[in-house]
Amino acid sequence: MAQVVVTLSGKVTSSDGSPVAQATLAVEGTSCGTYSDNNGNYTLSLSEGKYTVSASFVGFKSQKKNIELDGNKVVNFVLQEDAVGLKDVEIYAKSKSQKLRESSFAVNALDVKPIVNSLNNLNELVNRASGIKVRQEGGVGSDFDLSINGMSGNSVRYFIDGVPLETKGSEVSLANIPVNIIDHIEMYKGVVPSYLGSDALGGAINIVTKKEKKNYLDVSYGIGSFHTHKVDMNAQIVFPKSGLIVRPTVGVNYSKNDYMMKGVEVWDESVRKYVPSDRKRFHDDYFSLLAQVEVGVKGKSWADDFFVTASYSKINKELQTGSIQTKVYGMAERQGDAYNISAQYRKKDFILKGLQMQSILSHTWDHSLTVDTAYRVYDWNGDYIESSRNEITGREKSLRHYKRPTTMFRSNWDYRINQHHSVNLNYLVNRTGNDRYDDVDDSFVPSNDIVCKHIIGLSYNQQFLQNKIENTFFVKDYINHLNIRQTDLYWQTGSDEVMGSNTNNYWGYGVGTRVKFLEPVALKASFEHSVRLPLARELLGNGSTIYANTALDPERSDNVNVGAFGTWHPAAGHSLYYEVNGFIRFVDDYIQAVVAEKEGMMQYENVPAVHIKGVEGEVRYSWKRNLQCMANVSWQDARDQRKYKDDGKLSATYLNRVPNRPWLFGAAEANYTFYDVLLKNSTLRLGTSYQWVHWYFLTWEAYGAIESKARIPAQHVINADITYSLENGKYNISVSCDNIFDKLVYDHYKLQKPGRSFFLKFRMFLN
Amino acid sequence: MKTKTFSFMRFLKTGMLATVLFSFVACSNDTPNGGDGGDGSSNLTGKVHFDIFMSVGEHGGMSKGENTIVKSVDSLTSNQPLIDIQGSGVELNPYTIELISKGKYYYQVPSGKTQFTKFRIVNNKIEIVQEQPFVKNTYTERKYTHAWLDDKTLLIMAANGDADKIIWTKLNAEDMTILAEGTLDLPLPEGAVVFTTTGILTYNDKVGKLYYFYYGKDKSGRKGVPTSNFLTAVINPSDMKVEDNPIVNSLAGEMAGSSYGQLMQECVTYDEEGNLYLAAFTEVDDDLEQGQLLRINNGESDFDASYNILNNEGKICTLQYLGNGKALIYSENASLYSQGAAYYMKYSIVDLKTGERTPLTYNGEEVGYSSGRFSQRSVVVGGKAYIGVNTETSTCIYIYDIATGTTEKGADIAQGYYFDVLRVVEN
Repeated sequence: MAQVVVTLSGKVTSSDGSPVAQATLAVEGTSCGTYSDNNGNYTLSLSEGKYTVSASFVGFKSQKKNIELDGNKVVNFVLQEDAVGLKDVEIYAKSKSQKLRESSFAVNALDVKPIVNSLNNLNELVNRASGIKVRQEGGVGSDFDLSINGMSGNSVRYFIDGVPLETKGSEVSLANIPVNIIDHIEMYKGVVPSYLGSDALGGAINIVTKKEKKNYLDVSYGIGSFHTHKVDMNAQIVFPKSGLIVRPTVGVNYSKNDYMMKGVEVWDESVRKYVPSDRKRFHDDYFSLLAQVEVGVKGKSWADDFFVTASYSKINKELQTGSIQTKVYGMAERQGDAYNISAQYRKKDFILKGLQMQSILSHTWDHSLTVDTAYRVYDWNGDYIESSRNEITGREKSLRHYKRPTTMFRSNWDYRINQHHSVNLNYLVNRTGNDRYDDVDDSFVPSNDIVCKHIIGLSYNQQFLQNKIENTFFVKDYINHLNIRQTDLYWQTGSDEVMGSNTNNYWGYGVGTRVKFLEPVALKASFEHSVRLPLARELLGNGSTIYANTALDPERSDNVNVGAFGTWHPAAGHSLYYEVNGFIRFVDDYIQAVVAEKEGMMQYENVPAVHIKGVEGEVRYSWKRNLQCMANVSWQDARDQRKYKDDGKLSATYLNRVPNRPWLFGAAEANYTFYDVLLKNSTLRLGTSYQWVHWYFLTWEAYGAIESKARIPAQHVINADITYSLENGKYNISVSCDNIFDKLVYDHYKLQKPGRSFFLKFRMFLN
Repeated sequence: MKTKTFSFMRFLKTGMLATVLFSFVACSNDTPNGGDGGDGSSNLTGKVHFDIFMSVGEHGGMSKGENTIVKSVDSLTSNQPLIDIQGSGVELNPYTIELISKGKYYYQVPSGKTQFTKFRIVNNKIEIVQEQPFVKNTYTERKYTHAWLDDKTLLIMAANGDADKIIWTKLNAEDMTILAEGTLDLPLPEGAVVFTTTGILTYNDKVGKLYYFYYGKDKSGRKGVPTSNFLTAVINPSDMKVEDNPIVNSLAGEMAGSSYGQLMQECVTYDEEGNLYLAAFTEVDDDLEQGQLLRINNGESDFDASYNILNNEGKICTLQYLGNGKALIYSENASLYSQGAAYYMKYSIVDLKTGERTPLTYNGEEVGYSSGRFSQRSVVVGGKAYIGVNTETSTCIYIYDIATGTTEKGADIAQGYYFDVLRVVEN
């Protein structure tokens, strides 16, 4: 006899009667479930029978009801606020990050806020995300290369709240941004939403800061191995009478990075050999400061948000080694200063009901300096001999300045036509100068390039069948404006073909779709024809060693993602989320420096690049508010597409795996939280994580005897942390240990990373 | 727009080959290698092998050793199987193709290190024989020139970091101890603020003098231009004193391979009488560097004004003495190059007395143009010149018999790589 299907519907509200959107409605013991819509309404189709249905949402206590269905029924849920729950991330409770993962884009999102008490290294967190690999050269503040699905460097763009991160200064990065201000991090893989107006070829990282409504003070201090100290302070002060809001932020990082280098070469005159020895790094101090104040108002008739922001960032960074650790520096360093001022405006129902306008105008004065004035040669003992050349280039002394003034304007117009359709228009103009000069090196030819980019993005989003189907279509217009005045070497630079002021226009476009009829199985796919515009240096050369190539085309890539994901609630409190994604990247017209004509002279040219395909999977499991587990694995296969050598013959590397890049890696983590331990409203959180990278060749794998080939060894790194919080998270203390088993770890060939380290962090959050 | 083949260096030259030849065939004015009547090949078996340097994906120059594989073979004759590096050969990393070699060993100031290193390649492994950290004078990768004062004494020379002085270091090549080091008492040429980075150093053992070819530039960096034709300083090797005043030559603008010394391409050679020959060039216009062969007669300090063999097609990139008054040159056709051709280098036999130039032929036909302006793919040993080519149709070795002037085809080299260097090494 056929079962009778009936409808269970209702509304989820908070205790004050306001609707709770995106609350999770789960039918225990089944895979059935749904989410409430923007008005808090939900609908479930079930067979007649008895059920236990739970409703939950982050920041609220879950509520369960036993329901006997013998026909269509309306059951409402009223959720009580839960301050403790607000601090947790429960996939079951559909965090912002989880919602983002379930969008039509190939995107991973990490909640930072719940783990901020123990977090001291953002790169390490991001490095555990599927498809992402961060390759660091050393310890705190060291240079790093982040890849998304195998594409890195200029292919990846960084944002903070949708604004290019470079506006905070060229030295501000994931390595030094204060972690306490972050709510979550969005990582777009291959297909980047048009509202992030940028020429990201391979993906984008968007850091989303936390938005509190009340006054608060968030202060933390951390101390760790290798003389590491970190101080973060951020606060919000609301002046009730005027409605003025002030948000100061300060983040300071300092480390001597004096970790032990194991087995480095030290000369022993008695045996006249370099002997492997353990020596501490002695010239790797790192200091960074980011200070910022935002002043503005919210909720005015003329503006939902209006803020003026001023920030200053500074780094001082000693350089310990060259590109491999056998080249030891003892005096060279890099410094950076950047000032930024910006104004941001946001208004809902701007001109039209449903139209939100958000604009930001920003200017940055950015100045970095590389100091290489010591005529010395150092060894790992810290000893030196006087030399007749500088440390980095082996030439004359150098005080190399880079001034990069950047003016940026971004305006985003989002219009919600109705519940099902919305359009978004984003315009971004970015004018960046690149003024390079040297105070002491006469051989350096100063240059002052300016490139202006306009990027317009238009997207249309549609949702049908109670958000079971979501489609996004977008188009991007990249406009590169140049003013070519150089006329010399026109046959080499192509300047005769593109003389004077000219504007080049390039189109990008894409589509994303997601279908989710059942909670445990949903599908999504996305595509983007992405573009990266050439940099000033690539187009205009450097006036000395690099020829201009004004006819250079942008890099282009066709990025395809296909994925499946789903959530299953096998029993009350248990949530299991999985996702599997496959991707392909067809990167062409890669901009590569090619040595040209006269020896030592280079020129950037468009060359065939790589095709990358890969698969990655991730599983997340949570039990109540107590346990969260995650494991992922990523496989990437990048194949060289340069078919012919420059002499026209077939290249041996054609279709070979591209060397010196991780191609198989994974991560896992588990966290368990105990509540009311010793004291009421306290929590004790235990966490551990594991990172694994398969070893890989430094060079093309097929050539040379296998025993002679250099490799970057496999990594197995286990970390652990313990955090105790009091008074619902007001006072927190955590201890973490990275690389517990003190493994030798390399991300780059012969650039040793730190061994075991400890970090103690105190954090106070008052609101 | 030109997309010429890699031009990583006009700098490199090859002390290498010259020195190799020294040891068992003698390439210098001592015992010209080719002059043994041409029957030395039969004596080579088991005594020497050939190291073939092939780079994957990109040329191996500019101190980029990561992608260079060295394949050692006992013979280069046509009965050898195809020489390939797929799954065989030794990865040269961390060393690079800009090497000094003599006898069994290679010598280098390695990239990313602050030392002199002596190593050898055996059984698909690089075996470090001895290292020596810098003590006083310091050098950087590929930016130095060198000369062998005898079988055991290696002299390294370069401009300092400011490029306003020339520094030198004498090494005991057996144990790599530093015998002496110092700074040349050599003034900057008139109007110059810097020396060229390395210059060319060579030792004429018939005369017992070092010859240092160099020039000055009006400013440092690539924008600097030479203030005169290149100069010759004659140096007493025992005390490293510069004898007489350096002389500005009147025949040519620059010496070939002036930027990075003879670390890959060889541009100096000697005949039986101890006359020194130097490949040089003069820039005629933007598209043509006219090649020249110049001579310093035995005992003289300056070039023979009556001797100037021109190569109107373009620059002479390598020069090796064959014996009997003949030399092998590897020169460019600048016209082809300016038209964007990938193959524009060719080998010729030059009669050093008459200047007559005969292109390398095989089976009565000229061997076609090769690619690789900065390659050094020829060695002279046992009365034969082993000449590697990379023409449009083949990559292989030709074996030129010095005594008979005949050419036979040797081993084939697998294509798909950059065949950069060929060296002969004692077993």
